[in-house]
Amino acid sequence: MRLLVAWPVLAGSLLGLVTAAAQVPAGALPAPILESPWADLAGADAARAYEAVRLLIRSPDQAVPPFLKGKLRPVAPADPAQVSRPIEDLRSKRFTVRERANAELERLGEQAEAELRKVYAANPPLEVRRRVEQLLQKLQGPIVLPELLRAWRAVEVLEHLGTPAAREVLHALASGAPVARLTREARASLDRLDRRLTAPFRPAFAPRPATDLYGDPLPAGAVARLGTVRFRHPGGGLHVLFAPDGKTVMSTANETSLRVWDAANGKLLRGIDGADSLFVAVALSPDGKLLATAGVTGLGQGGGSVIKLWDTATLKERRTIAPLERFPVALAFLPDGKTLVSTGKREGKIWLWDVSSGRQVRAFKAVSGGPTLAVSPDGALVATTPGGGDRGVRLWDVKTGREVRKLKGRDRDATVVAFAPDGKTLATGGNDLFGVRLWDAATGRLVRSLAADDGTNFTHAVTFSPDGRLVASIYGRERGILLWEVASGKLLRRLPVADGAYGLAFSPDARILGVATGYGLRLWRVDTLEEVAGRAEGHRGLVHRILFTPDGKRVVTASDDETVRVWDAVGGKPLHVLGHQSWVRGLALSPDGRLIASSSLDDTVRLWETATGREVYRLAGHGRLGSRRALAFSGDGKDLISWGDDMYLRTWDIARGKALREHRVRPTGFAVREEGEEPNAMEELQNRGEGLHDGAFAADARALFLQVGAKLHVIHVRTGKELRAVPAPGGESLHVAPAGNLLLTTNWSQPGSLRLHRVPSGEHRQTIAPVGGQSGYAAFTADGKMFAVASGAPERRIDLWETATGRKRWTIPNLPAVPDALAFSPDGRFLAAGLEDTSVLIWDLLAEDTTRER
Amino acid sequence: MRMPARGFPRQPAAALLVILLAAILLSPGGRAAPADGTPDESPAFRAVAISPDGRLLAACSGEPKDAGTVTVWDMQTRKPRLHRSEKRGIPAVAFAPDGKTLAVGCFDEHCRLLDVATGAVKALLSGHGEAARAVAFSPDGKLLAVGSYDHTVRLWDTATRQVRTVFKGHTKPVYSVAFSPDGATLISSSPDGSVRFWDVAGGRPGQRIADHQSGIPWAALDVTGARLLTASWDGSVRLREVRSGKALLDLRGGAAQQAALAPDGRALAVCRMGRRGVDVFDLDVREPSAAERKRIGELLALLDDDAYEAREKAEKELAALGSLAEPEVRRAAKESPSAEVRIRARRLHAAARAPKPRLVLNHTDEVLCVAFAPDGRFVASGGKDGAVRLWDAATGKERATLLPPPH
Repeated sequence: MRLLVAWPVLAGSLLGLVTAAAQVPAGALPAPILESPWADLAGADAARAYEAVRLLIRSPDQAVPPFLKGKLRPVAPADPAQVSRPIEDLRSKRFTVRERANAELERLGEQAEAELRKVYAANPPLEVRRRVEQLLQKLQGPIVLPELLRAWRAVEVLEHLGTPAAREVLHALASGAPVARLTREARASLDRLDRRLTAPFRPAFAPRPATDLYGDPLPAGAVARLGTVRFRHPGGGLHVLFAPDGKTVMSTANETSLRVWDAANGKLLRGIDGADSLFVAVALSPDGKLLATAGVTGLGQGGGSVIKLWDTATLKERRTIAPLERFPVALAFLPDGKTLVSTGKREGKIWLWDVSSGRQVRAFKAVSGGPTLAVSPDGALVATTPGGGDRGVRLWDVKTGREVRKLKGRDRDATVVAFAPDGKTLATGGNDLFGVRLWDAATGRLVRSLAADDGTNFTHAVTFSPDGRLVASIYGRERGILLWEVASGKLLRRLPVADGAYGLAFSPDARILGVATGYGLRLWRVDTLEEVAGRAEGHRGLVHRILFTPDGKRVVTASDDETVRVWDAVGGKPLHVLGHQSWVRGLALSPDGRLIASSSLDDTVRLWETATGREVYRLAGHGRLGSRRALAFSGDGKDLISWGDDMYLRTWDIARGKALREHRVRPTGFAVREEGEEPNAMEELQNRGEGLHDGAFAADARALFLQVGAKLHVIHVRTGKELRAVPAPGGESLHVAPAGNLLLTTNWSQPGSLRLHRVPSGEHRQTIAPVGGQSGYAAFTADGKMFAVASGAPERRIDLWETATGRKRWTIPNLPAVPDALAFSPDGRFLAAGLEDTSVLIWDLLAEDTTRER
Repeated sequence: MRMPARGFPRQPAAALLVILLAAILLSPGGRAAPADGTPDESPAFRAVAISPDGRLLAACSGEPKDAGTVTVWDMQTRKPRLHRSEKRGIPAVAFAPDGKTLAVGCFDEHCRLLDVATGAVKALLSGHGEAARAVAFSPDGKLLAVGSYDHTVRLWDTATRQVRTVFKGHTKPVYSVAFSPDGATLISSSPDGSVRFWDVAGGRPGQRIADHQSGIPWAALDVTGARLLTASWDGSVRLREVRSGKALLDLRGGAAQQAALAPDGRALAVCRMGRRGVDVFDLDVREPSAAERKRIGELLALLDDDAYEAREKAEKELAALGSLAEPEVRRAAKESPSAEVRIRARRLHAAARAPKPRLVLNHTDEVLCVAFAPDGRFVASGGKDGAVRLWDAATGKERATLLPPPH
C-alpha cells in the first residue's frame, strides 16, 4: 500500500495502480538500454534514478524476466563458519586482527547480524562490545550501499508492476535470509500487494474537482480544500477599506500585500503581492477610483519612501510620488479628492499633494505629526496625533497651516484619532487606560469618556459609523472590538475576536463593520453582530494539528481559532465545529477513531465523539500559558495521556473521564516550577519553557519525548521518571512515526537540521541533508516509511522523504500559502497540509501533477 | 497654570515655547472642569492618608526627578486646606496620632514635619542618604520611622528630632513602614522581597518574611496588629496571622501596588499596576461550622466518585463555598492519594485565590494608592488621573472627587 506514496508521478490516472500500470504501452526496448537504468537506480542523481524507473516500468514484459530477475538475488544466509571466525577474531589481542575482523563483518553486513546480536546479548568485554555496537548501528542506519539501494528500488518497481512475473521475483527475494532488510522488504511488498485487493479504503475522487466547495480553484493535484480562502489574507490584516458603493472591500496584510474582495461573498477579485513594504498607510479617494498607498520601495536596494497612486478597478499603478523627505506614516484624501495629506515619521510636518500631478502643493510645520491623522468632513481641518516628543492631539487649518487648537486633556499620548461624520466631534484613543474619548472639535473640550468597566485598556483603533450613531474601537491585548452609542455613551456590544482585530471600518451604509484580523478580513452586520461569511466555513487561525481517522473518511483539525473541526475527507465538507476558549495545540484520535481528544490553552483537555461532535468529558488541561501540548491514546484505547508545558503528565481513564495518575515531569537540567511558586504572568511568559522546545509521545504512548535545549529527554509515562537524555542539537519540533520506531526533529530557525532518532531509546540515527528554508512541520506515513516536511517562505513547498534511505524523493512545489501542519491519510495516498491562509489542502499523491521530481 | 510635570522639554528654548503656548492656549478659559472631573494636567497621586479622627485627608504626588506636591483636604467640605510643593516628588505622607502634624517623605532625602493647621515646617529631618520613601508615626506619636532608598529604616524621636536607631538589613530601598498598635514592633517592606520586623525598644531585628516571588512595595498591619497584609509585584496579596505566619487569604492578580484592610477586617481594597480600578473584596475568614465541615468532607469524597457528573457537581458546590472550604481543599490538593481529587482541589484552590471583587472603583487612569477611612465607611484612592476619589465602601458610589487647589 505504501508504494502508492512512492510512485505518485507514475500513476498518471486516478484509478488504481494496477490499472495504471496496465495502461502503459509496452514499448520494446533493447536490453542494453535497460542496462543503463539499472546503473542509475542507486545513483545520487534523483532525476536520473527516476528516469531509470520510468524506463523499467514502461516495458514490464522485458524488464522483469530477463533483466530484474537476473540482477536480483535473494540474500543468502551466511555460512556460520564465515561469520564465527571474524567474530572470534574481535577478541584477538592484536589490533590488526581485530581491525581485519571488523572490516570482514562490515562486508558481511546483514548476514552477520544475527550472530552479532547473540554476541551483544552475551555481554562481551568492552572492546568487543564497542565494535559490535558500531556494526549493529550501521546495519540499522540508512541504506547507503549502492548494491542494496538498487535492489531496494527494484523491489519498488516490482511491487508497482505487480504482474505474476514480478511477484515471482519478489517471492524469490522473500525467500532469502530472514534477517536481511531486503528479504523483509520483499515480504512486506508481497504482503501489501495481497492486501491491496481487500483494502477497506478506496477513495472515490474521480473526477477530480477543479474547485473547492465555495467555487474557488484548487491548486495542481489537490482534491479538496477544508475551509475556505474567502476573505483570508495570510500574514494578518492591517487596514480595511470599503469602496464608496460598498460592493468591494480592500485589505492589506504584512504591509506587502493588498487584496480586493467582493464584499458580499468574500471572493478574491484582485490583489497586489510583493516584497516591497508598500502598504504602511493607505487611503481611498472619496469617489473610490484612486487608492493611495505609502511605504518603502526597493527594500535593501537603496530604495526610498514613496507614495503611490493606483487605479482601484485594475490595481494598475497611476503615479509614484518620490522621493519623500520622510518615511510616510499616515495618509488621507481631502473630501474634494484632489489633494492628498500625509505625515511623516519623527517629523513635525504635514504635506499636501496634488493628486493629478503628484506635485507637492504645500508643506507646513506642525508640532505634532504622529502615527495617525484625520481630515474633517468639510476638509478644513486636519487632526494629528502626537509624535516625536510632542504631546497632545492638535487641529490644523489645511489652508493656512496654522494650529487651530489642541485638545485639552490628559491623554497627551493618543495614537488614534477620528472625526465624526458631522465634523463636530473627535474621537481619540491610545496606549493608556482612558478608553475612547470624545471631544468637541470646536472647543477642544472633553465631551465624554467611553471606558468599559472591567479595565479593558489600550485603544488601538477607533472609527465612527457613517451615520454618526456609533463608535467602534479595538481594545486591549486581546484586540477585541467595542461598539458604543455616541449619543448616550453606552457600550452596546463587546465583540471578542479570537484572531485579533488590527484595523476596522464601517461600510458606507453603516450596516456592516469590517475588521482586519490576524488571518484576513471579517465582516459583521452591525445590528445583529452576525458574521457575513459564516464561521462554519473554515478555520480563522493557523491549523496546528491535522489527523485522519483510521478509516480515512474524516479529517480532524485543531487551530488557534479556538476550535477543533471535523471534515469529510472526500470533498472537504465541514461536519462539526468543536469549540474551545483558546488556542488548541494538542490533538489525538482514539485507535478506533471514535473519540477525539483536544488540549487547549483554555486549561482544558476535552473528549469528543467524532461521529456527532458531542463533548463527552471536560478534563483538566495544562494551564493557560505556554503553547506546547501533547496528547496520546494508549494502544488499547482505554487511557488518554496528556502533557503540557506546565510539566504535568496525566493518565486519564476514558471510560470514567477520571485521572488515574499524575506526575510532574522533571527533565534533568530543567528547572520545573514548584506548586505555590507562582510568579506573575509576565515572568511566567518569559521563563516558562525556556529551553523547552517540544514534547511528543511515542506511538505506543509508553514514553514521552521532550526536547529541552540541545537534548532529547525520554520520560517513562507510567512513572513520570526520566529514563535518559541524549544529545539532539538543533531539535525544536518533534514528530513521532506511527510505526517504525523513529522520531524526527525539525527546526524552524535553523534550516537543514532534520534528525532521525530511534524510539524508544532516543538515540540518534541520522542527520538528513540540509533542505533549506524553514522546516518546522512534518508528518510520517502510518507505516513510517515516508515523511513529509513543510518549508516556509519563500519556498512554500512540501518535501517527501524516504525513511529507509534518508533521501528526498518528491516535492509538492508552489503552494498557495506557507504550509504548516501536515498529515498523511492512513493508506498514505493523501497528504493534508494546513496553510497560512487557514485552509487545509488535501493532495492526491497519485495524481501526476501533484509532485515534481526534485 | 501649572506646567506639565512629565515630558517637559529639556531644551530651555523649547520649554519657553511650550510655556508660552500653554499660557496662550489655556489662559482664557482658566481651569476648565472636564466632563469626567479630572484636571487637564496634574501629577499622579502616589500615597493617601486619612487623619485618625477621620476629618482630614492627605495625598502626595511627584516622580523622583520631578516636582512634588502634598495636599490636605477637609473631609467635610471636600476643600483643600493645605497645599505645598517641593522641588522633588513626594512618595509618602502620614498623620501623627494627634492629627496635628503631618510627616512628609520626599525624594530630596528630607522628611518634613508640617503643622497641619498653619502649613509651617516644624522640623526638617535630614540625613537619609537618599529618598525618604516611607514614613510612619508610632501610636504614641513619640517616634517617627522613615524608610529610605539607602536600604535603612531610621527611627526619629519626634521631640528631640534625633535619630534613635538605624535599622539595617534590607538589601534594596525600603518602600513601606508601619508600627504595631502597641508600638513595640515596626515592620518594613522592600523590593528585595522581604518584610522585616524590628524590635523598637531593643533596636534589634526580629522576624523576616520572604515568601513572595518578587518585591513587596506595601506591607501593613491590621488595627489589632495580629494580621499582616502584604502586596507584592508577584501578583499576590496576602493576609496572614503574624503569630503563626499562617496565610488567611491569598489573592492572585496583576502586580499589586497597595492594599488596605477595612478597620473591622471585613473588607479588603487592592490596587494593581496598569489597572484603573480598585478591587474591593469581602473577607469572611471565619471557621466553618460542624455541619459545614461535614459537608466539605462529603464533597471532597465525592470528588473521587466514579461518576463524572457527581464529581463535576461536587466541585461546583465546593467552589461556591469559597474560602470556607479553602484549608480542606488546599490539604486535599497536596495530600489526596487520588490524582483526580488532587487535580480538582488544585483547580478549586486557584479559583479561590482569584475571586470576583465585590466592587470595582474606577478612576480614569492607573490607581496607585488606596486607604480606608478610620470608620470604615469610605475608601479613598488616588492615581494618575490627578484626583483623589472618595467612595462609599458599601455601595461603591463615588462620594467626592478631591482635586488639588488651582494655582
